[in-house]
Amino acid sequence: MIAVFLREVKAYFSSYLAWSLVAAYLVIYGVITAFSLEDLAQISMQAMGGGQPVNIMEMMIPPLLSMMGFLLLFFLPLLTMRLFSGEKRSGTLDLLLTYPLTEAQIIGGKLLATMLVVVLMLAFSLSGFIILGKLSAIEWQVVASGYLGLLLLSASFISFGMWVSSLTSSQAVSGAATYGGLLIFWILDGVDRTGIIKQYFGDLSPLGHLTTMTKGVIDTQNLVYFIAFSFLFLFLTARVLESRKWRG
Amino acid sequence: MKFRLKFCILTFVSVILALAVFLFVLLISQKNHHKFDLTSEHIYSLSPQSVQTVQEIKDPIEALVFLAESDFAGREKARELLDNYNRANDKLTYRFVDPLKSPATAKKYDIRMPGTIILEKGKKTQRVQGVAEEELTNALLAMDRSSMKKVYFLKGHGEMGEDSKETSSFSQFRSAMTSEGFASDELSLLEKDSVPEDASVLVIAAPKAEMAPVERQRFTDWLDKGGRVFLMLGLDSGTKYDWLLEKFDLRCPDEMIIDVQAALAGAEPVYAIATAYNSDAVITRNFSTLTVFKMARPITSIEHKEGEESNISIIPLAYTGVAYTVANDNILNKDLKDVVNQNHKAEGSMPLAAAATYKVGGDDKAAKDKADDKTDNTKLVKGVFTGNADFVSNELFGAYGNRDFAMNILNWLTESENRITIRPRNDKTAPIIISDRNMTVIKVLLIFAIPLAVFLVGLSNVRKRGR
Repeated sequence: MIAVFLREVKAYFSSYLAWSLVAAYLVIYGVITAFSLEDLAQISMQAMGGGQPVNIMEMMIPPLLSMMGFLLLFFLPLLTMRLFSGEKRSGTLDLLLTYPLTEAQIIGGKLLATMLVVVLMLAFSLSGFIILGKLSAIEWQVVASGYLGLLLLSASFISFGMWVSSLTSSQAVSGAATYGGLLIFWILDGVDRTGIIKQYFGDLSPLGHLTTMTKGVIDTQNLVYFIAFSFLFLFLTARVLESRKWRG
Repeated sequence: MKFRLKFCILTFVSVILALAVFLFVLLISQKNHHKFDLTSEHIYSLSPQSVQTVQEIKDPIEALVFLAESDFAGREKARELLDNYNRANDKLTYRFVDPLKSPATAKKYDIRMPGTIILEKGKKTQRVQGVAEEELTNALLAMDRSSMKKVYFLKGHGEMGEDSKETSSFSQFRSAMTSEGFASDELSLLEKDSVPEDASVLVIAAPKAEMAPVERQRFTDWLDKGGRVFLMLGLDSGTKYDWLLEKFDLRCPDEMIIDVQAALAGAEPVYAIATAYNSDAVITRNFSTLTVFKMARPITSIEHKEGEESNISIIPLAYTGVAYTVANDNILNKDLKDVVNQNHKAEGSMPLAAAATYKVGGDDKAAKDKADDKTDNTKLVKGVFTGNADFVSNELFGAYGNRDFAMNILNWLTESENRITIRPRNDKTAPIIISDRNMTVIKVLLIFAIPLAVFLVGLSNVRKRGR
């Protein structure tokens, strides 16, 4: 698995793709954070003259963390689309499958490598929170809870993207299908008008589970969801890879 | 071929099983889960008092939350709160009702304000104004009362009638009281030696005559042992009940409020409309609907000389918009329109209602302590005063927020001394002050410097690997 991990890390960081995506993510994140902070400072000035008081932990931190999760929905498919589609297109997948590696090791290595790119994105985004921390007292445990949620969300998105990538040799199709699938998951909440699905199975949308964690609440239901979601799609990916063997 | 078919079937079955396991895991975790609230004030968890209260519920209670479907934020807030209650005791369940889509249900419970919660336990109901932990927990406590609270209406002084269904009677008020678990009856302090022991509140509604000395003594004896009075004065009450107001450091000038703002909106000069409420008062917390009074007098506090101490806690409740007052003498036998058309200087908003409390019993020090503190050996005397009784008459009881205002008053007057106070825990506010220069630095750092640095590091890395 480590060999696959290192191979993937090398592939990511020796191309412009990962670096460009991280930089682009940080630009968008920076714009949102800076202008939200500016708005909050204006509200704060008004509050001193008798307007609504400012609570950064309520008005800025959870929405910012949720927005970071939403941005991942758009960036991660660009990372995952090459995981298997690219290998199929270039013919290296069959070579990879001949190595003495199980499907789990291959999938695990690729997952970890992609997660490393996400960790890089999130690590640099901490700069925004450090700046916020200098301006006002923030509860770092809430930020930590939000980041844990973002990491789990990323793992879920990557697992899904990896499965879609394993189904096709076209990176474009893989990317588009991953976007489509993740967007469907996002809007699932709105579809469940009666609330029956939510009553029995809880929130089916990954972003819905993130929202709780951005407020500093870690619910075991959220953790179970993310882990189960990731495992489901990693399992399905393994089945797709296995099927290549008996399909010939 | 057989081999491929076998694997195909196995794969298909394993995929279905995986999906089933996924859903099963979600189902189990939905029923059995634990929350860790990492916020410093645990704002997303119930307070220990609420947990204790809700765990003592033995019979099923259903909460009907009246919020529109389009109010996503409101429903989410209510869902978060009620899920916490349900997790503490699954006998408390809830469902949402959209008043626009279920007008019959909204009408059945006389819902006037969004965010109203009706708690139902069998045939007993309890109304909660607003989605807030303190109000909900205290409503659950109130529901759990085994005995019915009794409200007595004083009679014998020309008070507003109660039994007939004429516009000036209180039949709707009394029906509403019954539906919320109050019993009511009339009381004459000339016929009875004392206020009955089961009296939770004594309502004095727009009396025209003063109390006889013996009545006054019986009433005062009861009040000073922790009684609760709801005094509604009318223009005909004059100054006859000033003695009672003075016990609470209040006064009700013999004047009528002319509500300029209401008149501009097209209301008749006789109406004074409460548009602003004291959000710190329990009675009017989360209260946002208008309350309509008719020929109302202002309720003000007595100003004490500097250095004079008072153990009375006065809680203003409701105010008009821009208004002024006219002496009662000036409006007798006159057309109100003429009075209004005279040149008057607008005086600002007028107080329409006030509550007040003071402690009795215990030692002197305890009695002198702030009257909203509670000690074991003292009793808290409570009073609510309005300069008008028409707002609870059949004519106006169903108008705007009148019903809710009246019921909130009764609930506050009759609530237990052990009312739970849950300090709002999300009130950590702090100003954020950033100079323009610092803001520019932050923007440059977040939008340009850091992303550019990352990209340049990447660029050099790629080029290095490329060589």
